[in-house]
Amino acid sequence: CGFQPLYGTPGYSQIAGVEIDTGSSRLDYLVADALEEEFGAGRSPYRLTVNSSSRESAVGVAANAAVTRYELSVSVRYSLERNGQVIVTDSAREILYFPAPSNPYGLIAARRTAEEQAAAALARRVSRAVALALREEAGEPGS
Amino acid sequence: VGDAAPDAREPVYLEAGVLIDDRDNQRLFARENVRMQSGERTLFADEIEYNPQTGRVIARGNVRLFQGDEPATLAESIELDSEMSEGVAYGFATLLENDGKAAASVAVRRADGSLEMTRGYYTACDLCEDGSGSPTWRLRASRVTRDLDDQMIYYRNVRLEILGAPILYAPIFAHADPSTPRRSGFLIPSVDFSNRLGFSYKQPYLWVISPHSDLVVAPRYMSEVNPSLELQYRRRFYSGEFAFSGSATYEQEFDEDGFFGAEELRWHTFAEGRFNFTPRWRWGFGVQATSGDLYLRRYDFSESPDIGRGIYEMPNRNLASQIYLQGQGQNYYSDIAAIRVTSLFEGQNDDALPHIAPIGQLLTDLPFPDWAGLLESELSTANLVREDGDDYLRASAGLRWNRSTILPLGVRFEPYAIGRIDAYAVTETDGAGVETGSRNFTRALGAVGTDISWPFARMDSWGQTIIAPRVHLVSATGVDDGERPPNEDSQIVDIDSVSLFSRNRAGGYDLWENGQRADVGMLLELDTVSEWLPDAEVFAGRSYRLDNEVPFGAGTGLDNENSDWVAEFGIDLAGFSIDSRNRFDSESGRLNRSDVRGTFSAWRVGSALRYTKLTAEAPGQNDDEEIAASVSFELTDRWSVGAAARRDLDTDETRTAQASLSYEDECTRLDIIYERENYNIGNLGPRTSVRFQLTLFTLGALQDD
Amino acid sequence: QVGALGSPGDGPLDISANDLEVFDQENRVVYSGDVNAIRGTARLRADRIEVFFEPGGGTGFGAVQRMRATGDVFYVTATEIARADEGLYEIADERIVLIGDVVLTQGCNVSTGQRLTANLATGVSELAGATGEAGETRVRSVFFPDSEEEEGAEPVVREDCPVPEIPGDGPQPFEEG
Repeated sequence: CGFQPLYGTPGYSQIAGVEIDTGSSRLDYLVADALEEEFGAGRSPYRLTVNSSSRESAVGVAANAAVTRYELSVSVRYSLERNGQVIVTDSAREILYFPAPSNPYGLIAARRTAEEQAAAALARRVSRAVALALREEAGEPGS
Repeated sequence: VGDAAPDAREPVYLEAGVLIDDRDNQRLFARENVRMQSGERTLFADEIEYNPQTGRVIARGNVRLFQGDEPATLAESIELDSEMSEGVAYGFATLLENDGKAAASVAVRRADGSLEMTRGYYTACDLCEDGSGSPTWRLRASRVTRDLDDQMIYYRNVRLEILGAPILYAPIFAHADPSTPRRSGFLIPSVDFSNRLGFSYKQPYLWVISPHSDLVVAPRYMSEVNPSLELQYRRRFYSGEFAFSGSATYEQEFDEDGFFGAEELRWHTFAEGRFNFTPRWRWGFGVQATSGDLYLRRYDFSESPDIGRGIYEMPNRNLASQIYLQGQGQNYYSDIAAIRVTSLFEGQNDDALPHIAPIGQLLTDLPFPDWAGLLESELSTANLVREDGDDYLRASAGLRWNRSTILPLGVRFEPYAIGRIDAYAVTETDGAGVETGSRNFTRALGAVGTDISWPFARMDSWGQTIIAPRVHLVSATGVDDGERPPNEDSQIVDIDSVSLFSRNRAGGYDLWENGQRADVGMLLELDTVSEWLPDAEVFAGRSYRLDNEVPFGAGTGLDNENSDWVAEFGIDLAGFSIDSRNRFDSESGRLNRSDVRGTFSAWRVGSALRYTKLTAEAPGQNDDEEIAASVSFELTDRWSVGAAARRDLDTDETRTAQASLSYEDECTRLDIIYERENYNIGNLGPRTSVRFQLTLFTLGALQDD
Repeated sequence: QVGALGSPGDGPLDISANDLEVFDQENRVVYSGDVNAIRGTARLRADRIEVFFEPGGGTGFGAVQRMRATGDVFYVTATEIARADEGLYEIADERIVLIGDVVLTQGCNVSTGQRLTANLATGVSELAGATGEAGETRVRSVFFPDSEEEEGAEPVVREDCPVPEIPGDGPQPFEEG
């Protein structure tokens, strides 16, 4: 009925070990690390340029103006290329909510965990999009 | 005439419909869209009278003078000397960089390039072709002088006209020539009213000390309280930058009922520095301090300031001074810092807040053969010292291996293993801050697991559909009773579609999820080609304990063998979008938590909504239900109104409410913002204020920080 | 001087040419072949010049009424040389009209156009382009302002520029009889 394994695309198996170019912030490192884990190790002709940004906003505010709940939105702009030819350029976003512990160290740890989890989810989202793009590029007809 | 020296002056090229030479009066007239060019200067006009001997040029009728790459000079008529550099223009207008426009009835251009205009005006707004109507704003003056040496524009008897009506008058006024980078001078003042401070007028002066440093000094008059002085200093170094912002006043404390306490110096300082050793290694510091808990709130300063954030941001209404070192390489990231936290909550005893020093981590991708997967190591530590309270020192070293592969038929199979050693040294104190005991212990923890997903995709002309089932099996070592540290960093366990499959759902190091479990989830993603077809995403998932152990308490969704249901969906259709994340109770099916985010925009209306509902799941917890909504409506393509509010549905209190009227065109932005804040902080009572934010492009912004 | 044509003044008119045809009834004489007409300081040169006379009393012709020059027409005065395809010199109106690829050279200043009308009495001349099916041609000039000019100083036309070359052998001295 037209559904085919997403990661079954021939091109996708070459993505393992893709070279990842990113910025120098902690979030950049986390997202690059998650992408490496997502695509797995190996030798790949592909190159993925990623830059990530995050934005935090208060979702829950208590009577004494203390923020009780944060919304973390992590987004990436990525572009996949093979020997200089761009295959896909797009962006992806992951939104995460986390309660804010009142003690400062608790919040530092909570924010760090939220960033790590958002990076992992974002890596999955990007890998799905890359698989689709490679399938389109390979011209496989959706039966 | 012999070999005359090559003529120093440029030849003049003329092109016209008709050339008339009046021999007896020694004048030459060129007519019908004449173009005259000499060296870098080109002159267009309906008619040009030219005397080749003296070189005098008089151009009449929609004259346009271009000199090199300078912007055009427009005039009714212009008289120029031989070099076409000095002269008098009537009905003159010129375009400055950044769209500044100056016009005058008479303009005299000196040889040094400076320009004197009488009965002239300056604006950055577009002028109507035929000069009819008046721009949104302009500065009209009896004399306007643009001095290229000190890069300023001076005005005498100047009036600021808004839509043609004179608003402000000043005998003299000056501002930096918009085409020059930065000049010292008065910035436009900021004006607002509030029930606490009354009428407030702040007049900033920018002093450009050097190309890489400047200081803004801003005295602020307030009708209800003594005036204050604000300073903002910035300096850029070769490999870094420093910024400072502070304020001070001499006043009593005040609240809803009036003034109390002694009149004394009250102040705040925020400072930060960031310096790069190499492009990838830097150190920095942040300082955030104030004389009293409520000073920032009383004088409308932000309680989570941008300056001094460093790499660790505090919860709002907490300040922090920190120093840090941060570095990154191709396959490692590391940072280490020391932080001193102070709280702005009136009741909070700062001594109970920890000095967090050091806090750091080193993440490294270890060299590992490709076929064998990836191996990463992590070193981290955190040391919390409290003057009145428990101390806590943790150091951890961990290894993580994973190897994701694509099996035949597109199954993504990722086995992984984690090993970690934690060393703790913690002290316990009783209520009175007396140390009652201390514990040191180390523990070894490990987990092996595998993450299996088998996504399917279908491509159609109208869009793509993805179905992605996923299962995550893991078995983790147990934790003896003697090895349970106080929980400082794992206080936010709460499962959703992102954290459900996470390797470390406890979030930090102190809590460890032991035992065997299986997390299962299914994602459906629909991505259509047209905006009028819905894009959608639906997720459902649950976690099953395989060893009837329950490591987490209530409120986490993991407080019994089968976890709460995680159900999330998002829809995007034309101008409408909604994203809802929910957790339903494992037994009763009751909604335990819901985060909803929606936007709707169509025609001239734009609106956004955020709703959060937390049901009390454990004794002592209480429900928390809040909603924040904003809507904006474009009256015309320039005027728009907006409103926003944040309401606590449990206590039926509107925490903040805002209404705004905004005007924006190509040269102006005006915002009039009414704001009402209603928090119970100290005895300050609610705060209502009206703020004016006026930005005249190229003249600078008039805004409240 | 610029643009305007010097007035030849009202001295005797001396014309030399290779051939001459006289048409009494039409009070018209046609010179052809390197024709040069001199009057005072001005010279009109063309391949062919027709001279029209006022009707004379009984015997000869009256005063010269009009001259039409065609073919490589040059009007030369002490200060400028104007070249055109065709020229018409109205003596009574003191007006000269030069038509067709007009090139006016005064020292180094050169102007080009399609039609030069010079009123020798007022000293005002008008050089215009042409607007026709052949498209619009505009007047183009280049002037070399003098380097050491002061207000009111005697204008000096620079000479160190190439002078346009006039075909033919130039005017022949008048031989009596």
